Amino acid sequence: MPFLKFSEWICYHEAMKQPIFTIEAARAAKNKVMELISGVGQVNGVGITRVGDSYAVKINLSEQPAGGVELPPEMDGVPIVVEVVGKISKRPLPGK
Amino acid sequence: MDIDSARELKAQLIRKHLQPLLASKAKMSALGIPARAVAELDDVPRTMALGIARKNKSDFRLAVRIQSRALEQSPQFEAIRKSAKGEADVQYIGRIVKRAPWNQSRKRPLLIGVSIGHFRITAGTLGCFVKMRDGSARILSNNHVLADENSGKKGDAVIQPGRFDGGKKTKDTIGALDKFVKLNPHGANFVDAALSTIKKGVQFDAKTLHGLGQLKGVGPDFLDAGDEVAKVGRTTDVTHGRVTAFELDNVVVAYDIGNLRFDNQIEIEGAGTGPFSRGGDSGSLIVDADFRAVALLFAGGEQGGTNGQGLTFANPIHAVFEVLGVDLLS
Repeated sequence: MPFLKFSEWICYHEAMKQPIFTIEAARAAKNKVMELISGVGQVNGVGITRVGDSYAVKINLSEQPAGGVELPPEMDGVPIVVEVVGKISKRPLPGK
Repeated sequence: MDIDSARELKAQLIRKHLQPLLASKAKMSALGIPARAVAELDDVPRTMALGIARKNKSDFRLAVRIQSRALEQSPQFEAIRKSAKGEADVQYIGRIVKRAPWNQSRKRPLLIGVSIGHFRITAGTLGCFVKMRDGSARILSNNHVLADENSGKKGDAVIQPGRFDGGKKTKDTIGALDKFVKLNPHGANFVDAALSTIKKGVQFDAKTLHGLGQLKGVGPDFLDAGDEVAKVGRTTDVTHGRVTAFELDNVVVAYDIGNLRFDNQIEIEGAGTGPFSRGGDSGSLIVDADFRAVALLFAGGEQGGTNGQGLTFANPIHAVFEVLGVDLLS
């Protein structure tokens, strides 16, 4: 499965008419995803989002992983959304 | 004189008298501009501004606006007045300063969304007002805004506006650092939060969300993806956004003390074409569509989001209140 932008993922899953997953199903899938991708250095947050009417797992990446690293498109049927969010910083005015 | 004559005279006088004056530091000092430290010197000295003023419906005259008293006795001013042959409207206007936005200047009563900070940091945002179990009021913002990332001591001055916005310990202290949740560089963090006392006599308005409406209490514990939110912050003022994810774990955030990990966070994107937050908005209270408190803004990035303007990260407000042992004051 190639990387897709967040908006493309939404279109993709809507087009595929995915079944609707509950928040409990998404939480269970999230826990499994976190175990599965614990070694991927670019991962910067795993949470829960929505794709249409269904809950889904969201994986944030600081940057696109190098070739060879594969992220699953779904976990137990629950869709997985992947987004590159860059570096996250505290938000005061910069400088000291 | 007619408008064309006024324009011609103005251009001529600028060429003949003002441009040489600005180009020569020796001439400026000869005018008696008082000595100041090098750091205080303006790159462009204050002299005179020339324009055109209306005398009556069809008649115009030269407008001379003097920005330094020393120039009133100068040969340049005398020459300009002579050239205008009595057709000059002369006014002393003094120093003109840029006007800071409402939330980056000194605000009394204190308001949600204004610039604030520990005296050593640049500036962040005053989130909201809370009450301790004994009923006394406190200001809520981030640890990195009020406690300088764990390095602040209880009793340290908190100033409004923040230092970057011209706040000074001597005249702008509005309270003191009281309590903060220590940021943990070695394990999961859940909130970036701190409290400041409010100095006796400093008035505050705990309800107004400037530009939005009135704060209406605390929202539900659960914030869903797709929920609409808004905030008032020091840098981007009022912005609207949408929750894009929740229960986010393993979010790594860059601080001066190193990268810190946060669990159970809320992710928000800006509505429309702008970001939901920028640097200086740290500490902003985030409210839902009914203006109920739902989260405390603390971090963000420049990438991601439907509009490509980056994502903002926030602590659930219930977690913040619980760990600090406070309730919303509104």
